[in-house]
Amino acid sequence: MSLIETSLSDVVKKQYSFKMKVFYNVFGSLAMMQILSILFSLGGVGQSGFSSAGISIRTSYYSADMIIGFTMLWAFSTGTFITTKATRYDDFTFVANRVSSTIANALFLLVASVIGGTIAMLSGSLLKVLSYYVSDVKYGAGSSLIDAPLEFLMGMGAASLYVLLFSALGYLIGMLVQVSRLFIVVLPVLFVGTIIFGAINGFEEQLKAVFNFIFAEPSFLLFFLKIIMVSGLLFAASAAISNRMEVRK
Amino acid sequence: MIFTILPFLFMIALLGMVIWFVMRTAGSNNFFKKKLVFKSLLGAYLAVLIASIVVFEVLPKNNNDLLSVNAKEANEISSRFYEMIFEGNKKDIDPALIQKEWELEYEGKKLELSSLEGNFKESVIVKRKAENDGKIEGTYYSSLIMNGTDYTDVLMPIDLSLEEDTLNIIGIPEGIDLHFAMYKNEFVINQFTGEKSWMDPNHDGYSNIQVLYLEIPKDLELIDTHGMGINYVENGHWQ
Repeated sequence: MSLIETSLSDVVKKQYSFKMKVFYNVFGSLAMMQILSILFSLGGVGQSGFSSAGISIRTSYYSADMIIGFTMLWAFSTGTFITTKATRYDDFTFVANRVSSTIANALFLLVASVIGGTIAMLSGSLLKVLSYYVSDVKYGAGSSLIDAPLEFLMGMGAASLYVLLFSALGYLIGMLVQVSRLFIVVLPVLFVGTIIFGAINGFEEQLKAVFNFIFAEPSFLLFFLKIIMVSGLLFAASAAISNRMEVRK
Repeated sequence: MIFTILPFLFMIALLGMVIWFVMRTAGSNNFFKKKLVFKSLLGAYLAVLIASIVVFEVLPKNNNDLLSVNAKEANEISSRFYEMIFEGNKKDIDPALIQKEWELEYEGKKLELSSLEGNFKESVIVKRKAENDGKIEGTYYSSLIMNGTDYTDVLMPIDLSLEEDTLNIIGIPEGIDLHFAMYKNEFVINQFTGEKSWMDPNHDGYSNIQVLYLEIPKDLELIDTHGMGINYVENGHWQ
């Protein structure tokens, strides 16, 4: 046993740098996920059409929406991946407890989310350049980094925050699954069941309100606070749950 | 045609390179080699992304083709137009809506309206003038706004031709299929700028006006042989 007392921040720092070195693979899967989503988006992420006597007009829309969606999925799966046994056991090499482990994991997910969200928005530019050659783009609207830098940066921030939220969600669900395999069945059933129950029994307004709480928030500052709060709560819950798995089975 | 496939080939080549590199180093136990290859791949991807930002700016974009219109404006255009037409008030209509104007001389008592060539299924609105001056003034108004974009200039105007006692309306040729592509902002930006996403059913305006407006001499009789449906207006009410 070490004779030197280590502080929480020291342990977290050591764990965090360890995780950054070991989990670099997740960025590989991020890149691959984004390349795939760019390929999928090449046909346009949305269409609108009009037809009348003898003339029909179709418009395809290009934006990074699909790429950001795929990145959120990636974040969810990364969050889950971190909670697996193999990665948890790595933490036992450190003088750590569940709090430091959770903080280190959260920090890692935060950095990964910022990288993921930023690159997702940049991939939008790549998509737009590629689509320029694939389809005959008649109208180039939208903010690019140079046209409206503030908006683009805000988009990068918002995308990163969304990705962080999903990674926190993935982390919590991963933890729950580690506690008991039953959750693999219970959680999806609970989720889908709530939606169906709400839709049938007229609780649509409440369901929409939950969705709109974050997705329709018009003020960036409030949005930032909401996501940080919710993610913090999710990580705190994960820390509490991981208490049950303190001892190696 | 090779240019349309090029981007696909580029993406597939990129993906293929990535997979090939990963598989090459997968079996190898050399941790540092793996990491180096990996880092260089990621670095290359980042470089491509940053390059694409620059390229995107440099690409020639013809922004003059289509204008952007919001829902309120589009609805206003529509309602204002029909209000004016209803009153037979030609002067106050926005001149931007006028696609074509004709002034034809006709001294006869009866005029047959026909639409044999092309497609013309739009409205014909007719106003009788106060006197018999032997002149027919025609105006074709058109405005097509869909999802916040003004496509009016894309449509070709109709044409009128007067032959003996028949006024031929030559419509738009059949089978035109236009395909546009537009860049839109991502939902993460629209959430804060208040711009409606294309997925929103209340998304930007829609306005579809294709009206042929004729001012005819007072006693001229119009014969509608093809059942086009002629709407007569007079100072504020349909006849």
